[in-house]
Amino acid sequence: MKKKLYVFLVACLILGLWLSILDQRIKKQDGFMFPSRFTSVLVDLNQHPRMDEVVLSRELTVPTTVELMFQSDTANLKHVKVVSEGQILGKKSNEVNFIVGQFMGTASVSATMIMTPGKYNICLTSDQVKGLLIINYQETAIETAEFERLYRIHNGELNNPPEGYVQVFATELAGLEYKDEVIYTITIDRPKLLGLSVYTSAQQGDVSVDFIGENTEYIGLVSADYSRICDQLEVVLPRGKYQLKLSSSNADGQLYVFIKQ
Amino acid sequence: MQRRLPSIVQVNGLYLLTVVLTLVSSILLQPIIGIGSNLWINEYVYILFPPLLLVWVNHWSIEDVYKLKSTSPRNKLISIIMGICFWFFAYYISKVTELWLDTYVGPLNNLSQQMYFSVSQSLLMLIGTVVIAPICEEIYFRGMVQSAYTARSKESALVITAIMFGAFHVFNGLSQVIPTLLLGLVMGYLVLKTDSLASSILFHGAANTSAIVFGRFLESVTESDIPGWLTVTAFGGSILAVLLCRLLVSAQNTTEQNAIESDESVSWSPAAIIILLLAALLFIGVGVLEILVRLGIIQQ
Repeated sequence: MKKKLYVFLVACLILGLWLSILDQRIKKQDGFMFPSRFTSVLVDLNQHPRMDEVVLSRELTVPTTVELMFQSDTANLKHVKVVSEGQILGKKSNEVNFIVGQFMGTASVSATMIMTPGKYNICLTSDQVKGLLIINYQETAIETAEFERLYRIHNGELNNPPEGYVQVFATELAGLEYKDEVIYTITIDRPKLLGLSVYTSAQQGDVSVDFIGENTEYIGLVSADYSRICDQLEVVLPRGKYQLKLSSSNADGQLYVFIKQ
Repeated sequence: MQRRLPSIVQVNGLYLLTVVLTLVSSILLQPIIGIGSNLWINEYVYILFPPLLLVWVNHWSIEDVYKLKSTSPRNKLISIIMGICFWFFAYYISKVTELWLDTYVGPLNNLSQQMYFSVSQSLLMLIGTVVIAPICEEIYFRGMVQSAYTARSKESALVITAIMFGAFHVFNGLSQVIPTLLLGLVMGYLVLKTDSLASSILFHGAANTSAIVFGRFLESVTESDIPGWLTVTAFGGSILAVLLCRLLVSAQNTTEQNAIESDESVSWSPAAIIILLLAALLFIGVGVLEILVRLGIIQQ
């Protein structure tokens, strides 16, 4: 048994060394690290300058959660635009813009969007520079009931919280002039998982909801322009006092806040 | 008669060294080389190397000292089935502990979902967990540590080795200590019964394989509560494992072995106790650190 075991352990050691070296070489080669569930598209920025050039085009046949991660090994700023034929839930328009600098290793510019069926394109504006832009994407069909709930919120029916969430605040935003107004306070005596859902139907003005604790800050959970749905943000919070603060100016529509404890 | 077993002070010293090196090396190396490569370094360098060095320096026979010998196919099969059955019980205990800690102390942020695994790191983790860890850890714990303590008393050797094995797993979280201690007790019993490390290696491998095969599914159904069917499976599995124990074929004790067992020179020296206390302090420190994170006093 001894000899067999020694041979086996040495063989495993060689395999392990080879895998470790391979891993280090891959890391050194591209310097990009992302979960294997993503599909990647490499764009060589050195080919030619680009102005709103479509670098990725995808067709969605069902309502889908699209996860995007952008990485690049060059510091020059690249403007990436996601344009959808269908609607992007929680967004005012069907366009979302990103500015991508140098993001390597596990760092990235990322976003998760729920899109209705249709084609979506990723367009790039960039100078001709030596380097790469990596577009990692994953598309997951969303459950019908969940999509319908979010679609109702997207269309202004805000009182549609996920299961287990209770309403802690609701208001009409029209005529409201708030600057960091505390709308909800929670004191946690021992660390716990807290779920937060904030929805607004504001189409104009400035709206912002921040979640602030001693060592925790979530700024701009919702806004009229960029994101009207913050759904099921679940975080483990250390003990302490937390406040939800609302800033609103010249806005319309409503605002709802739900919490799961 | 000349002793041909590691002494208690020797194994305690090596144990402390392994614990310190594993902890320090993991903190320093894991972010650079990845979790899979780090596991292999821990297993090969800090866990497998010390017992091998000990037998080599003392010109001992690894087969006799660490019981690195084969057993009957029947014992091998029973050990594998026992490993699978008993793993469910160990998982159940770890989950109960984790949920208790989450509720009464505080939850931990689940970082595992955010961790990045490359294909090669995933393969290293898989082979490391299923094959390398069972071989290296069994040679270390049931081979080296248990042999040293067996020279004094079989029963105390079984318990002390299991405690040392369980405590070593505090690095994987407080909830892992009791389940690995229980697994250690069963694996120690297997070695005592069959006089072969093959049975405990196979048990260990089967348990670790079960963790990989069933772990993810069970994690998804035990997020906030433990379903009734898992309780039934866990206790059913442990009862089956105990029943299977009775089917193991016992090894015949040799005269030489009995002579070693009655060796009166084997004792707890003050140095052995102090070394073990230092290791215990380190484990307590790691445990306290987890509690402070759970309480939110320090950030994860």
